[in-house]
Amino acid sequence: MQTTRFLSVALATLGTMTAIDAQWRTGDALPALRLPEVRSVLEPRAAAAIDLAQYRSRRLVLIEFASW
Amino acid sequence: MPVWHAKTRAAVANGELAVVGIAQEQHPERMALYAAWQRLDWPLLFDPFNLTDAEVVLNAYLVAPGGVIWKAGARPDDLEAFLAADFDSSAALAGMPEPRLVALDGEAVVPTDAGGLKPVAAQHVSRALFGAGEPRLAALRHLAFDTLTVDEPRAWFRRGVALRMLFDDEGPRTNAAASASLFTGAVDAWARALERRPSQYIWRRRLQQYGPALDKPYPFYDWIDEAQATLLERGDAPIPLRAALTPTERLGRDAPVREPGAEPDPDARLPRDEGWFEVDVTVVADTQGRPRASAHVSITPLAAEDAEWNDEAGPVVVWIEGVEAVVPAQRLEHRPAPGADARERRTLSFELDARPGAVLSGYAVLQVCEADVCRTVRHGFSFTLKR
Repeated sequence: MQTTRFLSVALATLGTMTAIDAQWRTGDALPALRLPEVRSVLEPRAAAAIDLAQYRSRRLVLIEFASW
Repeated sequence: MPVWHAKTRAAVANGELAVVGIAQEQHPERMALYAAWQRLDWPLLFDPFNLTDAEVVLNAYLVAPGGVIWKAGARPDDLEAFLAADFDSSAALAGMPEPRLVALDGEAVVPTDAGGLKPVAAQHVSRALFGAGEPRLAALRHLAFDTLTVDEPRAWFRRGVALRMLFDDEGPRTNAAASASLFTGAVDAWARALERRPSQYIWRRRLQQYGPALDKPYPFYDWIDEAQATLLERGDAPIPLRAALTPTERLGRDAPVREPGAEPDPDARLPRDEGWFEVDVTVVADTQGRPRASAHVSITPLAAEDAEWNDEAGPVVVWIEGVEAVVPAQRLEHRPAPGADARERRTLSFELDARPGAVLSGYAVLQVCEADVCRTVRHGFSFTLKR
C-alpha cells in the first residue's frame, strides 16, 4: 500500500517538473550545496554537514523527496 | 521511493553507485523514521528551508562521475542505461554551470558601519541548520522576527519554517509571551509565500500538512504508527517524534465524521484557568480558497507556573462554539499516551466551514496540578476568521 501511494505521488509530480528542471538541468554541475544530515539533526550537538560536491567523483543518484 | 530503493540497492552494495537523498520537509525525525522503516541507509540531507528551490517532489538526478548531471527528472527505468554508460571520469567540470541555488545574500542585507551591505539571511539559515542550543535559537528568532528587507516569497517561506521550528523547539519550555502565536505566524508566513508563488508545491504542502482534509491530496503522515510498530517488532531503536503529530496530519480526504459529544461544562460552573495554561488557536485555510479550514487548539502548561497535566483525572476536552459546521465534532478529546510528558504541548484539531469574519470560540476543560494541588479548570478562547 505504501509503495502504491508513493508511486502515485511520484507519478503525480512528474508531470509538473518543468520548473525544477529549469533549475537543475541535465548538463549542469552537481552543486556545492552543504546541508545537515537528517539523522544528525536529531542529536543535541551541532549537526554533521554533507556537501553535495563531495559526490562529484561518483556515479550518483540524487533524490529529493519527503516522507509524506 | 521504495522503487528507487529496490532498483539501486544492488549497485550501492557493490560500490558502483552512491545514493543521496534530500528531505524536503519540516521535521527531520519524521524523515529519519521513514528511512529507518524503509531501511534507507543512504545519507539524507535535511532541507527544511527549501534551499534547493525544488518546487515539487519527487526529483531524481543521475550524476555522472566527474560531477555533471547526466539526467534531471530521472525515472527508475533510466538506471539501467545510467549504470551501463561509459563516462570519462576525468572529464573536468570547468565550464559546466552550477545550478542556481537560492540567492540568500540578495534577499536580506543590512547596512554596515562602513556604508556597505552585509548579507544576513545566509548566516542565519546556516546557524539555524547547523547550530545547536542558544546560537541556533537566536538565528531562528532573526529569521522569524527581523523585518524583511524585501517582499520576497522565499524569505516568507523561510520565516514560516523558522517560526514553526521555534514553536516545536522552544514553545513548551517557555511561558506564554514567547510561544503564543508562533504556529499562527508560521501559517501566515507560508500563506504569504504561496500567494506570491502559487506554483510552489513544496510550500503548498507545508500548509496542506496542517490544513483541512478537503485540501489534502493524500494523507501526509498516516504511515507513522505502522513505521513505529515495525521498528518495535524488529527490535530496532525507536525514533521519537519531537513534534507531536496534529490529528489533521494523519487525515486524508475521506476523514470519518464522528458523532457530536456532550458539552462538558454547559453551565460554566468550572473555575477559570488562573494562568496555568497557554491556549493558542491556529487556523489553516484551504490553499485553493474553498470555504473550509482546519483549526488547531494548542494547549501548553506554563513551566513558570509549575503547571503540569493531571492525566489521572481525565482527558483534555475542548468544546467549540461560534462556527456552524464542525468536523469531526463540537467536542474534542485528547487522551495522552501512557507516560506522556506532564508538561507537553497538546494539540486538538478540527475542521470548520470558514466564513470570513466568523468568530470561532469555545473553551477547554483542563486537568492541572500545581504544587501538588490538582484541579479541573476551564480556559476560554476565541479567534476571528480572516476576511
